[in-house]
Amino acid sequence: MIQNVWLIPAFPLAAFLINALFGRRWLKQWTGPLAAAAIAASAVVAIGVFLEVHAGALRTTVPLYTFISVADFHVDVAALVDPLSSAMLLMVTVISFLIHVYAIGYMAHDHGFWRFFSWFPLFVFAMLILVLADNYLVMFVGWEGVGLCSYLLIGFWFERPEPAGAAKKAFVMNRIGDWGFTIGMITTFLVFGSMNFVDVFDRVAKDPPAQGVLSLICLAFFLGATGKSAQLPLYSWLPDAMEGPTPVSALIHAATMVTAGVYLVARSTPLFAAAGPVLAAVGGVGALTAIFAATIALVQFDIKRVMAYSTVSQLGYMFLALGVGAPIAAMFHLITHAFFKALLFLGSGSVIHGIGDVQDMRRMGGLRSKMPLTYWTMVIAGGALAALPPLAGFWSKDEILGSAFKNGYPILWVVGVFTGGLTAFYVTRAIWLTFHGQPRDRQLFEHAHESPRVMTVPLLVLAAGSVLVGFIGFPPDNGFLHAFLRPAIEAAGAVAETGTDWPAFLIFAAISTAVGVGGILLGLSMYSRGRPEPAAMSRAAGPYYDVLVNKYYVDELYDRRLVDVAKAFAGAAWAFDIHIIDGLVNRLGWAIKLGGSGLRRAQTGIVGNYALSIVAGLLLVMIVYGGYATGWLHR
Amino acid sequence: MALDVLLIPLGVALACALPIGGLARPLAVLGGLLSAVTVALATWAGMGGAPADAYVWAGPIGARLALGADGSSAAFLVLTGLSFAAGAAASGGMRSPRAYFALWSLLQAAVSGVFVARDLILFFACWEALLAPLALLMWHWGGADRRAVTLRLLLYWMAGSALLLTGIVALGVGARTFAFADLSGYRLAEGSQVTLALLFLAAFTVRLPLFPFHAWLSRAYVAAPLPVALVLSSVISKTAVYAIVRICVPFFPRGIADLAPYAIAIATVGAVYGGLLATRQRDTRALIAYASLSQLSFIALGAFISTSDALQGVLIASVSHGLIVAALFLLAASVARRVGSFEFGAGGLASRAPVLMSLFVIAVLASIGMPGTSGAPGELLILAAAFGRSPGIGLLAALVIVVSAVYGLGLIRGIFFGPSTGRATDIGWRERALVIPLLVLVIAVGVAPRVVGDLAERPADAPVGAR
Repeated sequence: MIQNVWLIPAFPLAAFLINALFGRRWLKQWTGPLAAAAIAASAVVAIGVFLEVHAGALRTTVPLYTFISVADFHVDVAALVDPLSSAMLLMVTVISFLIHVYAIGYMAHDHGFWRFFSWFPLFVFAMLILVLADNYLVMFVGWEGVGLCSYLLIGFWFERPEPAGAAKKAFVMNRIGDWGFTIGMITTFLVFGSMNFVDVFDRVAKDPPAQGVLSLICLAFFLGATGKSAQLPLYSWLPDAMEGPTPVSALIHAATMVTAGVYLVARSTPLFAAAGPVLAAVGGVGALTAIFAATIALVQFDIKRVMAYSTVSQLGYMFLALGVGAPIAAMFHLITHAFFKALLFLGSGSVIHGIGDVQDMRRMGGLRSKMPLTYWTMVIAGGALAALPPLAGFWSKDEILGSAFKNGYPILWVVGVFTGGLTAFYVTRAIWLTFHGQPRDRQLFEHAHESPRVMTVPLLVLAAGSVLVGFIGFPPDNGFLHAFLRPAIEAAGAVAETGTDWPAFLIFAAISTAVGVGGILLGLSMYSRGRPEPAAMSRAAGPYYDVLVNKYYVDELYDRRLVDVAKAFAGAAWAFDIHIIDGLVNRLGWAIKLGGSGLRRAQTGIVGNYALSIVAGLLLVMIVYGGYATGWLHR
Repeated sequence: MALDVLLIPLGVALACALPIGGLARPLAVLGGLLSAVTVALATWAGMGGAPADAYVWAGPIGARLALGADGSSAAFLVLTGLSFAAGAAASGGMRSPRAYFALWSLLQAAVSGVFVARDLILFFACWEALLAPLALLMWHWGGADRRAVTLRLLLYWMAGSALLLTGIVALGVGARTFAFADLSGYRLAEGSQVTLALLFLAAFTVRLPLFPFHAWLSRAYVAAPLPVALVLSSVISKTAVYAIVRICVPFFPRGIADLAPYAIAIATVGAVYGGLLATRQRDTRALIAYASLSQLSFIALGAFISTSDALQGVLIASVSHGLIVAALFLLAASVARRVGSFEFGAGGLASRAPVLMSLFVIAVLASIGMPGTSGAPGELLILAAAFGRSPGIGLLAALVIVVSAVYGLGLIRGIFFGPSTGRATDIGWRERALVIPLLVLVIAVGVAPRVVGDLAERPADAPVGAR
């Protein structure tokens, strides 16, 4: 099966080509099932590959062809199949399949149906290339490819102005990150003479380069990761990306693409482990992002934006884990998060779909009775996000926090636990505002309906995942996932095998569960007795509330100030071009004209004058020639 | 093969002297395609042409009619054939078509001549000969302000050429030969290399153009008839790239090495500067002009670094820019036919013309270096070489990654996004047939860049012709 690993991206690519070429005229509504079937085929192959890796095929390279070969610059298009990539392949194909099925229902009435199901599998293709790559260059092809599909799908409803702006913002911010990725990739090549993961990591182990160079490489890659995974300072495109259709938000902006940065750093563990201080910076940025985004999520009223900030925050946890030297915990959280956050988004989508494209929670309320399936699955997902035992998020997040404490980062642990309380609060708030209490918009409520089965079945499957997936990491620190991933990461000597430390686990679990339950209770106590008026909140919380509602004014800073600075640069360049480059040419033309009319006076028509000038010229030439010949003028 | 690429367009030009009327355009398209196919087949078969000596042309000064092609000439010749075919096909409805296509084919012959000349005098003759049909095409068939723009372009280019001629004479007198084959073995005194390289570069960088010699560029792209702007950007700019790589680098290695720090700095600045200017444009053709300034400066950066990585990058990026810019000009014309002008910003074409939008998006993304298209590998090789040369230059040059996204996406948004305005039909089959083959090549080169890149290593074949 491993030798056929290229089939996994080939199916979605084929679906893209067929739907893009024949979708509009002929396939129409069949584009959706076709795309879903293609992803299902990929998932089947991915399961086969996963089983084979589990059976002991620890590292296989499957080459396809040579991409570039010049002098020592040699890059193959090849797949690296190891535990890390096979786990990602499995997660990406399974989640993609579920969301494709869901989207068949969600997008059913959209006139861009075929367009949606052309770009959606194209995204999956690019994501799979990113995951499969055995070197940084091919990874970059997938990396930019997912960015492109994200751009296309955020701007899917291009007739409205917001999606168009959000799409451009997402792409440009990602390109700033890609600037970093490119620098990291090229520096890696110059330092190690290769972009191949295996070669580079071997060389780091045997003959590490100077600390400074290594730090530069890792910082550059991390800048790329912050762009793709929406970390500080390049996070602000992700909330705006919610302008895209909800399945897009679930697949691209929650479960898969935004985790690419985590995958990149986890894949590069040997590099980062050797770079020392940079790794601590990764953890610090992650923790800061986690708490920063969670506080913003506290006061959002758009249900999708709550989930978006929540995603930013949870990705922060993953970087925190990477930073404290627990890449397996990061991958664990990546996988559990993919399930419960995809579910939260799809559940939100089900609500939005059921009440007619309204996303403002202030107009919802009481929907529990109308959409029981959506409600219960979202409660499960919310519990997993709030890290209640024994749901999936509990195991993975607790492992991250435990690792932070044990590996000597108590401050990050405190931040993480506190953020856990905030998380529990905002998810309680979101679910309560949506499903409980009195309906706040009668008309919407009357027309609300549960979603069709094609949408609810994926919800149920994801809900089952949100309950069960946590057990791949059980017992803590020593579960199936740890045993499976350890060879891929330990080959670099980054992670030591540890047994389960039950007493410590129980203490940490008790503390973070208590904080989580506290957050939930606080949320319930505030919202169950009726919705607090924002005005009252504003009075009570004072300026903090305003700061949060305005998202720390970062959008103002980025979209106004920084863009203004960039525009000023372009404006200065334009002025220079008009006045100096172009202006000088005009001035030159004017000077030549002036010179011409001056010289015209020399054209006297008197032969004597001409003869005189010829003689003068001749003399000049002779003097210069003579000077050169005698070496007098030479130097 | 080297002779064929001259004879085919010359034959077409001659045929246009006959009263063939409406046949002129298909003939010109055929001429372009035939040249491209001839070269491609010959390259596939390992380059043709009976090895023999060249014709003596102007014996007393030692000039010969020496023709030949190495791998990079072949790549550029294929590009020339394709671009001229596409441009001819897009030249519908021109006044006095026979005159137009006669000049058009002469232009093609002269451009091809630059790529196959194996003698400096012949090279210079072709280099200059393309000016006449180019200027006439702009002068007679151009848009508003065409006379002033043509004059400006002529003055700029001829000033460069005067210096080039001085350089050629100086080199030829010193070396007592003009043949490339002999010159590459000739060791020029180190002291005079810088001066000579400067004289040659003066002409090459004006035509490329390199910052700050680009004052003719955006006006020419806007004022020239669209097919002429297409070949101007796609192929004629590449004569300068080719000349830098084929003449300056091998003949004045010392001079280029001495000038490189300044030239590299200028090219890097130009790459970012052109991109910044492109973000300010509201006319599609002007945007393409400044984007080309940015990308051609980037290519020049690679040429000045001139390691083997960089030169392979230069070849891939040149072919890529040629293909992409040809597609972009064709698509810009399609858009202009629908919205009535080349101005953009109103948007709204997406729902009316989804296929046009898809093709346009592919072309723009390729142009801004999206991996998977031909725009990426060349850029990456040049960038790697730039980092190898100096990290500071690399960091600065890599900024084009961000700047290009800003102008590229701004263009897409300004034409296509937003509420639907007016009535427009989608791109027709005739227009598709022009653009899609180019974009297929763009993606093919992006997926397998080796096909072009390896040509950079292909040595020159022996000159063809008989005494």
